[in-house]
Amino acid sequence: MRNILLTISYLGTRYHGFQVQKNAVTVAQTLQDAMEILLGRREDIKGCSRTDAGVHAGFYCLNFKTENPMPLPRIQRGLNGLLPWDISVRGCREVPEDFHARYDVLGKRYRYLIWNSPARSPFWEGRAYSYYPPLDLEKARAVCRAYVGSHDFSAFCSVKSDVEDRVRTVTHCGIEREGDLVTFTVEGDGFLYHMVRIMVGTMFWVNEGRLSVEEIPAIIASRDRGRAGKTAPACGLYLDRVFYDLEGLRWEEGKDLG
Amino acid sequence: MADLENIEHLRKKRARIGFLKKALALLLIVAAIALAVAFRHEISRLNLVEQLTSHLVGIGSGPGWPVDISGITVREMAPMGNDLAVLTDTDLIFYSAQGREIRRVQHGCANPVMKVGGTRVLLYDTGSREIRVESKTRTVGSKTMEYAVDTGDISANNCVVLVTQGARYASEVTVLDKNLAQLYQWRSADSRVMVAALSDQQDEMAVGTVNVRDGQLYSTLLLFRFDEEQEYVREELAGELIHSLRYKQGCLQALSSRRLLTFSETGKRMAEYSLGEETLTAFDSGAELFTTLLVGDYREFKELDLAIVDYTGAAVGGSQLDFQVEDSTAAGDRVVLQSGGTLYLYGGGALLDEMAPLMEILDIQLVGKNLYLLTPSTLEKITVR
Repeated sequence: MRNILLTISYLGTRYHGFQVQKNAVTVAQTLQDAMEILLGRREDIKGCSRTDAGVHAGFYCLNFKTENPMPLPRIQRGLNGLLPWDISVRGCREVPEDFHARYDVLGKRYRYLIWNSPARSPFWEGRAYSYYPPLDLEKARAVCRAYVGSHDFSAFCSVKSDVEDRVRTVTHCGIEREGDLVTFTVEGDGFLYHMVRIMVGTMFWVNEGRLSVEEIPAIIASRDRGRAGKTAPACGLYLDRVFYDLEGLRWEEGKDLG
Repeated sequence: MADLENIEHLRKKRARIGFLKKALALLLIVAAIALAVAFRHEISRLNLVEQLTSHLVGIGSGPGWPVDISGITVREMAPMGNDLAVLTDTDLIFYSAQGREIRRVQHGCANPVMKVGGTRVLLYDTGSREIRVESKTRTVGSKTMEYAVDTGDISANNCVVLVTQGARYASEVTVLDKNLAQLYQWRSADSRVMVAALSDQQDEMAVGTVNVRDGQLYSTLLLFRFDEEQEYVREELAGELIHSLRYKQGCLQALSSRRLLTFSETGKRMAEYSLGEETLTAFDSGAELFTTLLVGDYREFKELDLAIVDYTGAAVGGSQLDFQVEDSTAAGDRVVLQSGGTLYLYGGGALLDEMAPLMEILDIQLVGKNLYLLTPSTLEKITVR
């Protein structure tokens, strides 16, 4: 029995998140359909994260166990031939038998893309969030600095979450502009449900004057979702990287491992 | 001499004109009587006399607003034509638009429920078998049902539909005409009826039931014609709950937790307005031509969507709201939303005005362009755009 790790990329617009759901098309279901054709069996897949409907992933990891002896490059090529245009397999490797894509995660990096212009872009529609008010990058960077550290991020967690331990460590948070496209990047040892989207939404509220940068530490300390800003839409969010204690997937803070 | 002749000529002329005016007036009166006799059935069916009375009784001056309601606990307010029906812990009160108390009647209910129709109000006590129908001028009648009333409604032409639970049935739906005589009855053996509505033509009703099968919630929409025993439309909605049924201009609108469906007069599905994955936060389907929807989870996303859908199922306007809505009221395509101490007036989905009354607001009700505000001790009225 082999334990295979796939790294995939997908555009989440057409999908109802990653995990299999009744009455909804998901990335996992689409992948399993392709795997059933290629490998002759519908393998049970373990994803590194539960992404929401509309959220994208540039680098998503999942593992599955199979007795099929098909060579790894053929698995990758075969799946890419069967998958639709908005899902692709970028890597396929064998990992230790006890490896679990979700439980062995050491850290993740997310990017949130913002199209910051009064005119929306047809090229970024559904792939970035159209935010019209001019974004004050200095204020936004100050907000990002306030997020860094180990905190109880309950104020930035969905009210629907029942996770008990809400302490997470944000190791890096920054924002850059390239023309009208602004990228918010955050890296940490883990993220609560909707955490990145609420961090971005709170940054928007600071930009709009509804909150001040100085309030961010108090909001974090309050652990009150009601005090933080809105939840930014899913369309701008990308799971950019997942880190494991595996060769080629190790975590170096702030660096793109390629 | 010539002057005298002129005066006489003028006098005769005036007498002729006066006679002609009287003859014309008499002719009009006779014609009106003849028409009333000829169309007496139609007049009766349309409750024209009652409509006229109901309208006339609200005319006239009044002491104005605010109305002092100290010591009174108001449960509900609802528009009744241009006037206002107010249900308190002890009374049903009708106020004219000028602030005059038209009529007050004790309801004697512990947990009163009020449903407003065209010119009448259906009153019943939650869990009781008694129902009563009141108008602005009199008590129309009362009835004791065989079983306790779960829910009820009254149509624009004053017919009543009541949903009761039976000993042998999950639900029993009874339709009463404007004289409270039974017009139709239908029983459901295994599904609970959650909502029912009557058409204004007095010939059809819509019923929404709920059931659980294999662990899944199912709602079923059923349409009945009163000359047939069985439903002529049956539509199952898996995983949805039907919140409201309302006939508008002959079309039926069914609002579930996921969408607003519009059916034509023949029961054919005409339109669907989907709520997507959003949560239905509030709605107002009482306006004749429009349904107002508030969609979204503010606690989670810090924003809501306001949507106005007309009676054909077409979306006519909407706005994204970045404030929490505590209360809402709609009339036509106008909506007033209360957020804290601020009132936002939307028309066709666009923000028209923002008001911050200097008082604690407990409830709001829009009647045409009159916005009624319930405060701890008064009932206020302001005119909106």
